[in-house]
Amino acid sequence: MIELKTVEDLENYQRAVSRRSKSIVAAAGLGLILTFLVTLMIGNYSLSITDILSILSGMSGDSVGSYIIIDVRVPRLLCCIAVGAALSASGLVMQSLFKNPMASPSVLGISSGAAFGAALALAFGIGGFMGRYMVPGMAFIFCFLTMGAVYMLARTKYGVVSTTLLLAGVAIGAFFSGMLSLLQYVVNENVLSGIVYWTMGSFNNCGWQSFQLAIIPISAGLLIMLFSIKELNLIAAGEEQAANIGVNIKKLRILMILATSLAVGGSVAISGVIGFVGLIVPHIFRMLVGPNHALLIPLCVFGGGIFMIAMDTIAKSAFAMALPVGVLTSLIGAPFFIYVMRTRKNEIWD
Amino acid sequence: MVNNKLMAIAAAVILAAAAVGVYAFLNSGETEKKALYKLGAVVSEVDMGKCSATPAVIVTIEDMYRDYYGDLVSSSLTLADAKADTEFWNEYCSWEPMLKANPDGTYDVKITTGTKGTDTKKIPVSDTALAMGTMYSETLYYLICTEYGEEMYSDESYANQNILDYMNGTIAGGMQYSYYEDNDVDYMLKTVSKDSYYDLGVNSVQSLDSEKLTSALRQANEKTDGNVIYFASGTRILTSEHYNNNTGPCDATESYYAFFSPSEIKEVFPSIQCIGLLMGFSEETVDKLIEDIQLRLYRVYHSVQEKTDGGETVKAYWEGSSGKAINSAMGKVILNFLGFDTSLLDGAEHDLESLLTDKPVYLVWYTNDGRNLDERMRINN
Amino acid sequence: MSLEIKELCFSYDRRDVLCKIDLTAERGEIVGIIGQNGCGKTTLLKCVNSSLVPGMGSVTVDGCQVSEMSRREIAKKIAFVTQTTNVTFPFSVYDTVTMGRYSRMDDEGRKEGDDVRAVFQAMKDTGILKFADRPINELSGGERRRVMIARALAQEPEILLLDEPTLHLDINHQFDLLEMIHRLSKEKNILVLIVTHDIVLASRYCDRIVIMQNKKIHKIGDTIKVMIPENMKDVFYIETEVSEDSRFGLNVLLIGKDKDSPED
Repeated sequence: MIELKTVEDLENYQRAVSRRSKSIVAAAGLGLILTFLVTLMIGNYSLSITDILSILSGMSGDSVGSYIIIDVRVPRLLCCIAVGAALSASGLVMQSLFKNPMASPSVLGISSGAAFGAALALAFGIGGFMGRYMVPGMAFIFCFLTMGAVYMLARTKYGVVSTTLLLAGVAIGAFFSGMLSLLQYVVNENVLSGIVYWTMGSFNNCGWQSFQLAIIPISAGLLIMLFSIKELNLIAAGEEQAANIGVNIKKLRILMILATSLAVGGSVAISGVIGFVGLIVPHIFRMLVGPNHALLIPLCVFGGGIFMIAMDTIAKSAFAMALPVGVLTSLIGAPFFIYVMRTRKNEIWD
Repeated sequence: MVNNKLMAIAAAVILAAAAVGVYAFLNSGETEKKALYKLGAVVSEVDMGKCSATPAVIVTIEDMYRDYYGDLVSSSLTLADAKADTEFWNEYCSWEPMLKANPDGTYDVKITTGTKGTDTKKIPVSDTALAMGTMYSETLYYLICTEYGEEMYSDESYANQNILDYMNGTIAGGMQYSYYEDNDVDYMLKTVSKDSYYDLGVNSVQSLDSEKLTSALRQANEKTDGNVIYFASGTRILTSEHYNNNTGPCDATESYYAFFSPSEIKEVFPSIQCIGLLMGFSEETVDKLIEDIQLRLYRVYHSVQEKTDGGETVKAYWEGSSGKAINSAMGKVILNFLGFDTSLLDGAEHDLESLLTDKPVYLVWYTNDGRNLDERMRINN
Repeated sequence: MSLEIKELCFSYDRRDVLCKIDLTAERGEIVGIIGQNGCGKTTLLKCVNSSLVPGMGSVTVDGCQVSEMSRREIAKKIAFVTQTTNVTFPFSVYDTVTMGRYSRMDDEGRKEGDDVRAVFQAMKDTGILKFADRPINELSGGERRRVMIARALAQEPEILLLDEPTLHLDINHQFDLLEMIHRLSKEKNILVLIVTHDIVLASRYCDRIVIMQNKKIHKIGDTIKVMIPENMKDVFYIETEVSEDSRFGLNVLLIGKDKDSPED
């Protein structure tokens, strides 16, 4: 209980809360920078800290080391941050929008659709008009197509009900998964290994090109989400209540679907299908800081980046044989999720 | 009363049926006449690594010929005879070079880039190679055997110190050493030591870690004053970023790279020439190996023509480890070369009944197929 | 006329729920809407703020048709406190009340601090200032409802719609709540429409009563004229005695089930 007698008291309280939020976000941002710098030193090509520092300051004559740091590690880490942020924020938005703790990009079928699009490009060269952007381009296009199909399926004349939307997503996702399996069954071994590798999710081939490709849609999606923080908070009280308070639910739904399609499409296009990130990260932060999206979205962006960097670094160097990062997140995701289910107390999902 | 009688009859019937079942089961030891064994077909097991458009394809063709047809009709044919048989020569042997020599000793080489494109690169002669793909190391082995007059895969070749020194000193690393161990790739296991081999940890250009390649190339460059080159297969389907992952380390370490993807028998010859010349072999050696293989090919071809002259074309069935018929272009080429109808090679599953209807007379499986012969012959279906 | 409802009809698929409802009301009034279950009370409330779109008829607020207003414009005029107070996420009470300011974000002439002032006033009026930093799911049902009302008040509405506000509350809190509503309605000149089952509280605190039966308005008028034993018998099948009490006004004594009422 706090003593609030006057408007000034309330203003001070609000300012204190706001300051606390800002410092948490700043701490997360700092954490991200630190993680970035630490993981910059880890990789299969051995470089000492002094080597790295001299390369970063531009004073090194070691061209091979520069190649490794500037053309291999830095863009790979930046891609990890972008994808981690995109998947985490999208998972958060989906969980709030559908009031379902299981909601995540893979649940809505987006990842399966995108994977199928990429497989079409790999197997039959569909989308060749995009040249070297064939595979990411097809992943992206199918991301939107899937989202559109899900939305169309769930539309009734009374509008879209969130549970129906989720079910439609599961159905469409299952459909594309099935199609993907069929495709894998009929192609020859060379192409098959390419498809399987792609669907396992990896940052192995993420360089500057990938980063440039993904950063625009991911940023666009994240910006839309950032501008909808108030609406997302309101929707957390329930769609009916939010509408009563003045939120245009239809417009919000479309905007959020657009935003998550952009963010997830951009991610899947460069790194393949990486599961569980959109599920785990939002839950961690919701447990730590509560349900306010003004805090949660920036934290998911920074925290998602930290999480993805950590996962990728572990996947590529902790084991004798490099693991695709998607496999690692799945292995960690399941037991973590069970843990979350058993310990969360503050939430009563609908 | 009636009920008891009925029960007694039912019990007797069940016991009789059980007895028949047990008898049948105990007598099912005569599996030889069952399932696919009924076809009485000739069976071959081939090494998967020798079934693509690489020099080793001649070994597969000769072995398959021997399994099915037996001895060669004539072993005194010459290269001139081969050239005179224009149908054969145009189909399987006439080839265009993929490189052009420059006056400064470098070569302009046409290589396969990502997304099904090609590029021309200026490459000098190298003395050290990293190979992602068995084609390259096998071609080098063939070339060095040709140079020292040893027979491929022979014990003598594995005892010849020149050959051992060459292989160990030239092939600095590449795909996983365990691949050679798992697949009995003797020409690597017996000539290149594991300790000096830089293992890149993966077997495909897609999963390559560019940092490992950079390390490997740098180490290789430190050990030699000559040039280092990185060979790889399978770049054709790579996206541009995957491709850069393979070439970036080369550019950064001032090494070279060349990627080939031969898909027909006659493309084997220009790739032998490229690999040979780029690694400093003489034109003589290169030409000799090429002509050896061409002659061996012709001998089989000629025999096949004699043995199948006027007869009906019979069917062959070649199944991969997944239980589905193979669908590769090269597999069909090989079987057509040997005079078979390849309509069954459609990439689909063929069950026992459909195979007994189609009646292939020649069955082919891979040596690394984990199933035993009974399983492949559909005994347990 | 602040609120005018004309010939309102609403149906779910083919099932009629409201038939030709006519109602007008002014700011500063408290209108109680009572009736048996299924007579369409809540549906009527939802049509007022356009949560449900009527098939026929119109709802007009200050001369503007509600069907032509955006959700935000509606929220500036009308606030709705629903029956359910369950919350999924543990927002703080302060954050919850502040949510009510959403529709005012694009107000003309908005000054810094307007929001905090409005929230402060709403929280003060509902007596929840001391809960400001508490997560809302730690509060009791009655406290939560006060928070929801504070949130509605933060919208600075002209019309306040309350759906069963006293449900599940302790009896003393029921009185507290309605005292507060009554006071706020008069102080701030807000039209309050209350849907309720509680005949006693309705008779005590409402200026006018609407009795709904069978999808229509059965009776409408000043409380003292509508809350008569005859109507109670017709609509609710109960026997009552109505008298004036000097301490609190209209006293509706509930005697029991009407002996002549038809068997269900």
